[in-house]
Amino acid sequence: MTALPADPLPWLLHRPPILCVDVVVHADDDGAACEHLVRAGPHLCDGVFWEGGLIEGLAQTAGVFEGMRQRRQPALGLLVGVRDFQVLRRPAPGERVRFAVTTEKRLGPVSLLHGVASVGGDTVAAGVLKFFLAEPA
Amino acid sequence: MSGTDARGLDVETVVNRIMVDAFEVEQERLHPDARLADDLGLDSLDGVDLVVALEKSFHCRIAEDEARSIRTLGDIYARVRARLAPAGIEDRSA
Repeated sequence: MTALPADPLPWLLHRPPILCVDVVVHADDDGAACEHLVRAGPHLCDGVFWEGGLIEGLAQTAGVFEGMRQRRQPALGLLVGVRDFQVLRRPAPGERVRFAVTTEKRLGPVSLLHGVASVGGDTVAAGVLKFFLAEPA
Repeated sequence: MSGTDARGLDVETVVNRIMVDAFEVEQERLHPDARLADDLGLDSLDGVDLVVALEKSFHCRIAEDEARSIRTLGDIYARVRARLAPAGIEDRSA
């Protein structure tokens, strides 16, 4: 079992500037959570975190989760759908966003994960993400 | 996704409503022999959404091996009825 907090990079192919998670803070059989400190830079749009980054952060957290679950570095998967995604507000620089995913359903290589992005315990975005996972070699 | 409460139900009606609402399948294409992939256009990515919709609508759990064996609309009707039978829930469409 990976000691936490952990560096997410071994489980992800993403690198800056698309990387939207800084550290893995939780992982178990049902899901995982990563955190990201919003900083000045390419993730900002109109001075706040871009909406796509909220989905991307959840997707990358899902990538970490699947990598840990498969014991594979990096995990190979594709975000193939987003459903019922709501953005309540976009985090500002200096805020730490927690991206948490939990398994809703898994059927073969396709999984549905419920994702919640929060700041200080308050939800800023949430929805259901669908992934197609590559089979381990 | 339809969250229809299907207690006291007509299985066929509820399943067909899911196909229309969630997967945009035309009502006239829905018959028991319709194959989910070849006739109704569902693919492997839709499968998990279908299972979730069925589980939520009928308050039951569909095991993965069972879900993988579903090929036609009639298979869905049969699987759901089989799930509901032990609970004593009457299928008004049967």
